[in-house]
Amino acid sequence: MKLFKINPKKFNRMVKLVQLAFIVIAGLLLLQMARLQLFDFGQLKDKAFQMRTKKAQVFRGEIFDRNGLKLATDGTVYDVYAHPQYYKEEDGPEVIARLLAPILKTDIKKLKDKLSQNYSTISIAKGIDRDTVLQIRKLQISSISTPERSIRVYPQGDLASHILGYVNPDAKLAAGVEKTGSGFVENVKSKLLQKDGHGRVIFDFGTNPEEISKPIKGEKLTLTIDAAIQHVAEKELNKMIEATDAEKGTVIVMNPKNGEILAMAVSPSYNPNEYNKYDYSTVKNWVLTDVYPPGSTFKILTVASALNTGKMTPYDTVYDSGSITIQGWKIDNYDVRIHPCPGNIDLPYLLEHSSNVGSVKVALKMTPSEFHNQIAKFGIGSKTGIDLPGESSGILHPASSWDTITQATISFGYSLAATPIQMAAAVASIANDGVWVTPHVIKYPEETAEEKLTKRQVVTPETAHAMVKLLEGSVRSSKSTAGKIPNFTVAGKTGTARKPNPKGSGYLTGVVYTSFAAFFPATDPQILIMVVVDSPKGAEVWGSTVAGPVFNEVATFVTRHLNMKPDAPGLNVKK
Amino acid sequence: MPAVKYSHNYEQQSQPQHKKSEYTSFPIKKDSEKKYTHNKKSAKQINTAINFALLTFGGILTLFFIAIYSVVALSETKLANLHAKISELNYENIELENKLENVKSYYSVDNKVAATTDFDKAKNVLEVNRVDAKTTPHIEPKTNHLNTVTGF
Repeated sequence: MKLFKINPKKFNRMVKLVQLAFIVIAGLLLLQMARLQLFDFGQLKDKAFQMRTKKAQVFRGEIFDRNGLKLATDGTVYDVYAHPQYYKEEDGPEVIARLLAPILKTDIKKLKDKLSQNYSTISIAKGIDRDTVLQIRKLQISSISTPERSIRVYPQGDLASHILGYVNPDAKLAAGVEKTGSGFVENVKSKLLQKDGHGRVIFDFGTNPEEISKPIKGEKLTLTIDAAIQHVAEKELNKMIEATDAEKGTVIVMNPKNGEILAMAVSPSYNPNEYNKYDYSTVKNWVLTDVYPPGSTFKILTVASALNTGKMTPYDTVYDSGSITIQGWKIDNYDVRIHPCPGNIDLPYLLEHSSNVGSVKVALKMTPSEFHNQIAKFGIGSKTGIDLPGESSGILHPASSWDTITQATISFGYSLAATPIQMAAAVASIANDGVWVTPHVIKYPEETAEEKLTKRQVVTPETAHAMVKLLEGSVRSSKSTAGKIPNFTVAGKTGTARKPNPKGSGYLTGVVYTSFAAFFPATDPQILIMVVVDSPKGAEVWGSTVAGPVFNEVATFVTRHLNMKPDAPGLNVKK
Repeated sequence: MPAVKYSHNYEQQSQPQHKKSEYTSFPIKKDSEKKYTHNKKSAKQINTAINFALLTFGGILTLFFIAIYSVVALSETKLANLHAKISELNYENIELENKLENVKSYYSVDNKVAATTDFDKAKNVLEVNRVDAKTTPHIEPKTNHLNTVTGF
């Protein structure tokens, strides 16, 4: 019995149509395959590679000090997750909670409530250590996973925390060299491991079993920091801050010849292993971000500017009347009561006694633009380009806006503001035959150092040499002990500047910044140390009494640690 | 149309009419005939032989590849296990290294030193009377017999 009749011609047509449809579909499939294999090949290959390498644990490169001491490395921590879809009758939330609570040192009921939540994945614990995770893994609970992840570890604790900074890969946050050196520490040269869905390694002909067993790490980063000097600088600074109940402080130790920073102690300090427990004001590197009036240390730049512009010679004198009134503003010497009118003073006297009136007279010998240009050459008012983030340019108003009193007050370090690193770099140029070099903390290979670092002649070598002599003489002749270290000649200048009122105009009463910028040996400067202590309290708070002793302690250690050849054996040695 | 009748004896016709003497004088004919029938038989055998050889070869290859695959799979599993163990050791090593670095860090050493009193200055100095050299009893030093070892 025929169920339906079909015209053979019609049938043939239908068959042909079906055939055609098949051919079209096959053609389309071929086209799609060709598109995937020929045109999207690269993109898809990359995507597949990314998916397979996603599971591979990649460590950030380690950071070392200049002598190979490890300052930052990567560790492994583990997170614990529960996956409710894999709960079994015998391994339900209650059983799991009872098993895990003692290991995770948590309350059973709380853990059970957590495990009973209606989510596809429940986070139970984060950042647990290896021993704990091994105990959990031993239990072999199928609904519990314990993936590992990298964590940045700073084995030296607080040491050089403001230089090292911190890193939070999840939030893509970083500070210090962790940020500026990410090009090194995140640069993975080794072949990335490909893993399947179960986390097993996919071996191919090119897989070297020995090679893949090594941890995948970024490049090593070596800093110019010397951990021993850094430690002593931090210790001495903290001692002084504690003794004077100061707000904050810094000690910068650098090589003036090449701009390498050997230590940058910043107080208050923090532990980068738990940086999130500190407030922003502690974590930020105020040495780069905050500005201060440099005070009398700026007289180094004032005198150098006058010598370099030819407005003064090292043998010229100026008349110091003890106090001077400019545009209605009275400027006194700090020792006006002891020396009411010193009279004609030479440059050694000006620097030794830190004469404000003398430096005003020197500064006013230059035109505002001459003085401004010279200060700008020293790098005041522009970023030094240090390889640390968050640097401030400082404050240096254009010469056109200066009136006489501005120029006068700038001469002794007011009416402008600089960061401690700007001042250190500027004074370092005097120690380096007048050549300013970018201060830096990353030790660059010689081939890249030239492009990374700037060098510029800011004063003539003759001016620089004359300044070194003047500064060495001022330290030697001074009654203060600041800068008097055994067996070495030191060239430097102390500074005490009133602290500007952060909530308005004017200055805070009785609150000062004390500083000391000096380098040694004066005959061939190799080390520059800049000390700044903010708001020390006490009866005698001066650059010479607060910053000076810190300098002496650190400098004495540096001479011993670097085994420096004394240029004045027997000098300042107690007999 | 009447069917054509073939009266020819084909067998007879097709058979070459050799004379006995002729036949014996051309024995090769007989040989070729023999050879022909022999070839027909051996082609089948060759086919069978080739098929058998191919099958055997295929079988051997399959077994060979199964064996190789098993070895490779086993080696890969072994490697994966070793890799997992090495990774575990690496993690442990990194953790221990970090702990060691922390222990020998400047601050840890400083804190440990600060915790002990070895380097503290004495708060009180105990004064004792000077002992006169003449009244000091002479104690004979003990003679130690050391068994020295070359190289130490």
